[in-house]
Amino acid sequence: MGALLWKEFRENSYKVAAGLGVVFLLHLLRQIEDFNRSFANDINGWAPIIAGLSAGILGMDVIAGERSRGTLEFLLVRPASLARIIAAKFIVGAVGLFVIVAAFWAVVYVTPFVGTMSPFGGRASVQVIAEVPWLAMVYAWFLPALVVYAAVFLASAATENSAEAAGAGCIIALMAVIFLVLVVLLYPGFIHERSTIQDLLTVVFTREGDLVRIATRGDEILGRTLLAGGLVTAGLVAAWLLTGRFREVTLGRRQLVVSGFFLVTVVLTVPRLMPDDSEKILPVGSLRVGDRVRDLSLIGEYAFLLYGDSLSVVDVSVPSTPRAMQTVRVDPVWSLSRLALVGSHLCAGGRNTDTLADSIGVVCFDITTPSSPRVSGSTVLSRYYGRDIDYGYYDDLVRAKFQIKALNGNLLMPTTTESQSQLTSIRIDGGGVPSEQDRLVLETYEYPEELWEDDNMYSRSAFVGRHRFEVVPGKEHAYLGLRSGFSIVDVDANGDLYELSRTDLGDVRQSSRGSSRSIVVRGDRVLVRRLWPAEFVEFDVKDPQQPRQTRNLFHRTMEAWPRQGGFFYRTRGTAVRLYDHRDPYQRPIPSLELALDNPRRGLRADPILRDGYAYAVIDNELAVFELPPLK
Amino acid sequence: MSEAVIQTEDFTRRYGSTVAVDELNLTVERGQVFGFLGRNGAGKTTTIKTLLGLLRPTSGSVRVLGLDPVKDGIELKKRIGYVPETLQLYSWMRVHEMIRFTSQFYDSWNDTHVAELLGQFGLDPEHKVKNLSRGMGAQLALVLAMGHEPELLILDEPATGLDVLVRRDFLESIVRVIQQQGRTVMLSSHMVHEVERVADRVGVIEGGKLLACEDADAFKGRVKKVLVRLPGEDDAALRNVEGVSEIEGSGDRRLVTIAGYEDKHREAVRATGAEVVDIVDMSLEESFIELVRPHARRQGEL
Repeated sequence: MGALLWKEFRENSYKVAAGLGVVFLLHLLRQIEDFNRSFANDINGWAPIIAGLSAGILGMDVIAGERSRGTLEFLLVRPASLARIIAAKFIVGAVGLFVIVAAFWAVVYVTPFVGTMSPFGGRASVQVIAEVPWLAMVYAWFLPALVVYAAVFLASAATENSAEAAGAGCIIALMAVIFLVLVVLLYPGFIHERSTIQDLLTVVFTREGDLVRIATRGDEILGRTLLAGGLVTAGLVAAWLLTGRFREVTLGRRQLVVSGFFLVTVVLTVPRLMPDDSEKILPVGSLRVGDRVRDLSLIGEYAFLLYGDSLSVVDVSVPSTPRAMQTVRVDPVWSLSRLALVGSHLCAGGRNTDTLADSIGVVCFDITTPSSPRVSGSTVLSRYYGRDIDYGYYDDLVRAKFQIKALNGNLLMPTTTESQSQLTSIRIDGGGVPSEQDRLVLETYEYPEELWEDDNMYSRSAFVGRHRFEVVPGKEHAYLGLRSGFSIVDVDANGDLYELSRTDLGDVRQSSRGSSRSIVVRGDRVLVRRLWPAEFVEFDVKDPQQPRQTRNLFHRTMEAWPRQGGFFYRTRGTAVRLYDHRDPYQRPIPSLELALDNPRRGLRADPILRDGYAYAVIDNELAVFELPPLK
Repeated sequence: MSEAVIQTEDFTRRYGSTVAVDELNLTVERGQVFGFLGRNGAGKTTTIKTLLGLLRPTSGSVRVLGLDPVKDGIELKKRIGYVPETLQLYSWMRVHEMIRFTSQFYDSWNDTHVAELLGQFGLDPEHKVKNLSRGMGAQLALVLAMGHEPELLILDEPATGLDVLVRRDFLESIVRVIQQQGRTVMLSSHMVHEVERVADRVGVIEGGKLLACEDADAFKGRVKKVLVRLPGEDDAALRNVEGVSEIEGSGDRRLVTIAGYEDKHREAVRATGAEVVDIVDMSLEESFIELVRPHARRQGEL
């Protein structure tokens, strides 16, 4: 074994040296401040290139090279088991790969990053480095690189020379991808509950929040190590068989070219040819409602469709024949976008263009007689709260995504500015007239002045979107997914707001990418998305003043999917796909799809699933579907 | 009866639909120098690779030194030395590195013997393998195959691609090595005269079948040329004699080649009325040609 290792080391050391040379060059370049600054953004581009190239170069020559030079036979007639010969080759390449990856990250870690670090944007990669120890980072990258190396190694065992090995490596990788896609297609729940396969690749398609979890959690490291170990073992066994038992079986250029074309053809055509196995559920009834519907609400036997400046009522008491009833118009200065029901009033929030600068407000409709609603009142919210700003309020709110929710006879709306996250409550009086009641400042933001000067990368209003938060009304309280964590807010009958508790999830620095913190309420439990490391954290909120953390869930867990009428569902293009949550594989029960010949647009509003029927506005139709019974 | 070092029974090897070796029954006994003759593509290399465990027999059994080359490959390879047809050495190594590398596979490596051989062949240990001439490369390959003092030495078409002079030199090296007692040697070649110098037993393979396997002297005696004087000018009667493969000459003189010559052939020739003037022994090469010619004819190659 020693002799074999020595030989393999001598044969491969120049490749490792070349890799280290590139890494060292990077190290030198990083001493230049400009390069170093941009390198902070490029780490995640460099890492897969260095790791992938090294894996390919170290692997492609390793057996095919000996074959083409004729020295493979020299080894095979020696009294050493083939397993040893293969192992020695593999070990030397794997160690070399590790050395290069380790050196690359050493270069990243050794020289500190300079210049202004914004709390947001592409510098999350720098934050990862602060949180993940060097060795953990090396290992996180080493595992997928090792799998690539094993694939190329296998390719090398099946081919006559290095160039063919590289080609075969690509084909094996393509096959692996097809295989993974098949697994995911056959078991839709797979990817949502078992993260490891995806996480192995996730490193390459870096999402920093995932990387922290992958690199630092013991169980994640173990899972990925086992998976990578399994794949590597499979590759080695195949290489062993190809070098020994099936030594005459080699892939020539012709087979490679043909299988390459074949695979590409398969990849390009099969998804198109594959019949959609999901059973389509056709609507039992539909009604043309135009394509400007902004929101849908279902109250009793009536569906309410919100347009920018009108509300339409559709009688859906007979699901097969929805009947258009009345349409109420409001002043066209309104551009309404979301509905919420408070008692017998249906209120719509949106934009009001009557003021000098656009503002937002609420219009309420009395629906005591649902078939003929009438406007009961409206209000325009005071422009802003807190710090003075010079520019359009509405623009900022658009970035923050409009939300309006009803709780305890009040409406709740986030009114976020560039320096604050606020929650505004609007009380609806007995006559259905809305009026602003209270505002609660949840978070305030201060950014260093130099941030605005740094390459003009950020404008203040761009930050409004990052201050956005989710409002989810529960039975008694509202749950807010804030930038720093989550908050439980009580709204009393007067519309006064009280914060009952605030839980910090400790990832505030990185909730940077602007993604909102989604929060899902399930009775006494809430699932709060942690962005860094990525996952859902479950809290028991029986005592709203002291939420208790109960467990952590995978960040794609189906538990957090939208759920209505006993179904999990996902909207996909023009269809709503339903999942039975009791199925261990969480296969879709027949997907629900509106059968339009050529639907130009997808869903116009969230679908509503209730009492065995689903209501959705797709393209320009309000469609009613009969839901399949749960098995 | 002495021990069989190599023994195959109905050994058949196919590559897809092509039969490379067809029910080969071969026995080589300890201490023999076995010349394995055959044209290119006759099945020599396939047989040798099977003996080394590099290929598996499609059917039949193969035993070398009493072991199964596939199952007991490692044990067997400790006791076999192999010089392949084409040089397979690591060109980046120096001669002494190549030797050291090879030596570590074996427990029985004999450094003094290796040093001796290096001296005999005039190989400089500091030389880089890639700078060695072909002949020296072949000699190094031979040294590497001998270093662990194998019981069986297998040479597959050694010296292919060497020029005449170097070839002669290399063959001398082989002869020197072979002369050590008790060693069994299997030397495959299509160059029959090379084998003639060293082999004491000869096997001929053609189209995957073993045509002959006997002592070298007996093999040479198998084919004889008989010079005859005919009563007339018609040699038709001669052609009917069993074993006649070729008739040359004109007028009343003919040179008749007879395969598997025995005394009865002399009588048969006489019976045609011809007078036997002389009986000439053939070289190994001529014997080989006579043996293989009918097969080549059948395949339309001649």
